[in-house]
Amino acid sequence: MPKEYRLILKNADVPGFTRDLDCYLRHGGYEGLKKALAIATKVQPSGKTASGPEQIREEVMTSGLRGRGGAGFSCGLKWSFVDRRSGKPIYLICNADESEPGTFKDKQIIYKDPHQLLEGMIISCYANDVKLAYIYIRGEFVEGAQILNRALAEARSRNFLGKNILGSGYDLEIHVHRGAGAYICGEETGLIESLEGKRPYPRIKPPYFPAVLGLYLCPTIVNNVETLCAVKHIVEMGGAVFAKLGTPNNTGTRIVSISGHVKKPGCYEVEVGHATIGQLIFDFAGGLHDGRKLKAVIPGGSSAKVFKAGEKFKLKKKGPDGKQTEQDVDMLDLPYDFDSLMAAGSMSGSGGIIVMDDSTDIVKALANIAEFYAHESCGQCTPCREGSLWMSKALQRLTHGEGREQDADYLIRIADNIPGGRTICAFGEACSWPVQSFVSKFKDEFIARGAADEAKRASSSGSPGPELKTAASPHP
Amino acid sequence: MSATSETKPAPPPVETIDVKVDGKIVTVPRTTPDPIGGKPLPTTMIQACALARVDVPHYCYHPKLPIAGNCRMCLVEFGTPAMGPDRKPILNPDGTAKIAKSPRPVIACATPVSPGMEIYTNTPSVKQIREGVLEFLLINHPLDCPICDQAGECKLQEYSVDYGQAASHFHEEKVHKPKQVNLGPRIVLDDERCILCSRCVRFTKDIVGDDALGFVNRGSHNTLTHYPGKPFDNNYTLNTVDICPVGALTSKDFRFKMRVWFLKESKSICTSCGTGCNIVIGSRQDKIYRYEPRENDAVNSCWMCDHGRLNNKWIGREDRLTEVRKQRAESKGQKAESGSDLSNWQTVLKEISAKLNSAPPNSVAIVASARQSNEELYLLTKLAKRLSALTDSVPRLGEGDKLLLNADRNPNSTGAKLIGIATSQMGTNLPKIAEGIRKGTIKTLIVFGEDVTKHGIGAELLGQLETLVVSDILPNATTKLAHYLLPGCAHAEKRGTFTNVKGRVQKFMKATEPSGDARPEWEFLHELVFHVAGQNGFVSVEGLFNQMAKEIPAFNGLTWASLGETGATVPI
Amino acid sequence: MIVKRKALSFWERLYLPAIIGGFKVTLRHFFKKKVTMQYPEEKWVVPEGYRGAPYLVKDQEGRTKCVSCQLCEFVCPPKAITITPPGPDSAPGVGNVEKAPKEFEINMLRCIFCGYCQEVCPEEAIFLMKDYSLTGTTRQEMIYGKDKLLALGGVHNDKIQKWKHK
Repeated sequence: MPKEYRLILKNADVPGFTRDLDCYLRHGGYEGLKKALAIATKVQPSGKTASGPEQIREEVMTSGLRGRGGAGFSCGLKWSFVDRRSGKPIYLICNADESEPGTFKDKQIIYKDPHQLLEGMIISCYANDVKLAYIYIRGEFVEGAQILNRALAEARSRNFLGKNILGSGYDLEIHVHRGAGAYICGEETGLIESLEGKRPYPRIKPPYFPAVLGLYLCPTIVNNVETLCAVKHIVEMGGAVFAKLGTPNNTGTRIVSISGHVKKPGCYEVEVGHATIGQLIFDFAGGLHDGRKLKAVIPGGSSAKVFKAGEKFKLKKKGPDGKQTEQDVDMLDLPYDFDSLMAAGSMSGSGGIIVMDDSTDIVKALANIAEFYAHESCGQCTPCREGSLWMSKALQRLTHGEGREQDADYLIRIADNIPGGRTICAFGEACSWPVQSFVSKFKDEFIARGAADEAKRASSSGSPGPELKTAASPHP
Repeated sequence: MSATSETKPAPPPVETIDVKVDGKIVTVPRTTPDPIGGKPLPTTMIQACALARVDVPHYCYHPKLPIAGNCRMCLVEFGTPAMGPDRKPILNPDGTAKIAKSPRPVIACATPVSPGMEIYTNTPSVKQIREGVLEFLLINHPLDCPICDQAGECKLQEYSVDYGQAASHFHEEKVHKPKQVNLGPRIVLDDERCILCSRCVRFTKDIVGDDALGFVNRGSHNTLTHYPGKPFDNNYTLNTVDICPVGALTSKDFRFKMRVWFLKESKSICTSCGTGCNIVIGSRQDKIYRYEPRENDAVNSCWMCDHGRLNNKWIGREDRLTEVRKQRAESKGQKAESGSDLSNWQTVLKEISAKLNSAPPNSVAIVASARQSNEELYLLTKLAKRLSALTDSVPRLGEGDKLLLNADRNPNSTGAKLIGIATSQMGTNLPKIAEGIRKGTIKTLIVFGEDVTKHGIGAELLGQLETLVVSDILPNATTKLAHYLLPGCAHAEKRGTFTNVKGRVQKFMKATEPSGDARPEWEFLHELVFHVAGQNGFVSVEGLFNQMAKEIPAFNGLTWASLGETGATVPI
Repeated sequence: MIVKRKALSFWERLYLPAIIGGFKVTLRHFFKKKVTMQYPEEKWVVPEGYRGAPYLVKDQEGRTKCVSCQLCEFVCPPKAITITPPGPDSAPGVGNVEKAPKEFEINMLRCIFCGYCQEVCPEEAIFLMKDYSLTGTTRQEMIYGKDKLLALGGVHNDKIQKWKHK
């Protein structure tokens, strides 16, 4: 059985560790920053000179760090896209708008070890020549914002922040901005709009790629809390060493939030790809409650496609001889990393595993998820705005005894019209993937529910019941 | 096809690229100016499709507004030349570039074109996407076309026919939103009809600079509204009704007055200020129902101001002058002869001609109006020359704004000055005319379309005149005192040209028939000129304009035909 | 072209057989039921689906169903229908039905009872009813106004009542 590998949560649960700067310093805090600021300009073998920040960026690229927010995009690559020739200031935003149902890792970092985030941010800002950075924190994290503000004040007082940081000549200011309680602010361009004081309508790409036209139409980097923390460790241990953690192309460690019907829900930090979903559920999270059987697992936050217990996938594996072989892998034996889950048709997303046992009413579970997305759709673009509420209404009907047998196909049909580049941002995928996967994988349950409702209506009286509602249809 | 563009060397070298739209190669400029700032922006797919004459349905996209990309109706598929690992295009066996089709559709309104790109607007997938988007737009739409003013010019209706599906699958309760919302003094909003395209929001924010509209609430409950406590009230609000692709924003002025498919559309010019916004007059059975702006990038783009748009009620007023009249004869001590049998155009014009022919030089003065067309003013100068008359017209000033409304509220001040009927400082001759009447040197006054009693030539002075010839549209103090009253026409009832403040000469067309005896001024002026100055040869307004263009230096080189629909600019 | 007339046979030239044949038919009809109707004392009962004069109807709640969409005016081949829309100051009638005609005239002298108005009506507000004999002493009298049309049309029991759910 693999063990937890605590890198980012190293200090978090150590007895006696507090959020104070002094405590953080006693545990080796801000050493990474000092190391980063001390990196001298170097002449590379190619003859080019590389400044300190450039070398840090190179290290991050070498580390193979992938974004921990959801999409798993290479952090080094993201930084390389930043338009550094425009003459405009570059902004860095820490995306602490953690609101994906099933995910609660960033909260752990912010509430338990805020200085680690600040250190990671300051290093990342230094690496990208950022003079002004923001932490966009979820509106509901009132205490988190207070903690961060206090940590910022402490850091400022010791000159880890502000003018001429530690005598390096580098200036940086970081502000905390609390959101107003909208899930869509976690989408990076929506977040930028919100930070500018507007409705968080995600921007169209092209032309508004944050790396070129981000905050105030200046180049902007938006990184997740966990990603920025990882940068600190990359600088401390070196990109090549970091890359050895985890598996190739899925490097480093990952905080997995496990919730649902398990004995020990919580956050577990493991090397990416070293533990399977089954190990995470049964070994780390203590397994299911006694006498229950596994029904389904959502592997990466509520927007990820669900896995049905016992589902098997054909995965391509590279053997030691370099040959690709295809293997049948059970859902529980999937290694928890970016690529395997992608290959299995879902995603590791923001690292939130939601476990459902056989006591779960799958229709109700989906109705709950759909209601969340219908409430959180920003309403900017048509398919997501109308589709999310439509699916939610249909599922509410289904859970309130007014279902129809055809509702399973009806839901799939709606969900199929939303994703695949038809929406401005990934919310379209986020709201339709659960519906597509739940309904297609548990289709018999949805059909049975609708059929039961129809039968009940037919027997209760001759009246068509909710069928009368079709008066709202355009073709009376 | 590129051969023709190569042989024609365009003066400013425009960098072009070739793209394929549904298999048709089209050459497009690499950049297109931004509609607001004029800054060159990469040409988008929808612009390329427009150049290829391929329709891409759209709601939120408007060529004169910033891009929003929210309706998702213009999603298309595309492919770009495939690149090998050596960054060189991969070629098909036949030597053409291999196209790598993008797995995801993109919005044509915001995606820039690139060399060799292929755009597909009619694939099964695109068709399916459009059906899906339209269905989403319609599920919460009230579908109340029978009572909606937009019916007949509604993009939801049009695209439903062109790209929609026959039946709805929607089985839920619709979202209900506010109806009959009073957005401002001229606009009523029906939020249930709104498809949240944000055209109105962008127009008022980016074109007018009055950030008055916005959305509240979330998701499908999103609602268009104005800033709390601040009604949507600027001088350009009614343009949002034009650009609203559905019937959400309706004009209080036009609301429930006429169905749009009955309206006859006549191309005309707004006469409320010197800008000369191009308009379309919507009329039915000789009644004018509305003005709408007509696109002319040299003048008004796609917009017009509310002031000009609503200033048309006077045309259909009940008290319009409709009779040719010879009046006030008894005051001269003569036998009253204002019998209606004598008052017809032929006899009255003959009498006026006789009087003018016998008038000694310098005894006649003419007050023209800068609301008259170039042709009419030109005819008046002919009379003035023959009679050596003192002429001028009346300035009319108001407050201008930075968008369209000009401080000069006359539609044709520039024409009046160029033709020479008005002095360069318009109105400076009016005191001289008054002085002449007082002294008795001026015995005959011809007034066109102005109430001179309000401009320094009072009723007692008019009483001293031997002959007062007045032509006007509506009754006023001057028309009451006229010896000869000639009923004229509003611009909507005749044809002609105006010259705007920037020297743009623009045609206007007839929309409705004049009421009663009223005749276009140029028609009877042409007869007067024939009787008095003995010149003829322009029985049509086209001939008249061409004659004027030959004689008046400022208009040299123009012809009626060369003006086209959007006019031509002359140096001023 | 000249068609040669066929020469009559002897039997035909007698004429009598033909006359007798004619009388036979006449005699047969003596004993049949009469088909002539004593109009106007006796009125014809028109069948279902008969297209008589078009009248306006109200729904069971007394609302004029017509919303002044003017499609019938548009489609009317002889241009018999003239609708005056309510204009902007119309008081919103019932619920979301913001429109009703200010005046609705059908010139029955022009109407050709084609039924296009009924077919095009999106509101089921105009129906061709069973009246076929319209009389008047002046032309003006034959132009039926809104009130007259509604009085003649009566109530239509609308099963759907779509505006109730808008």
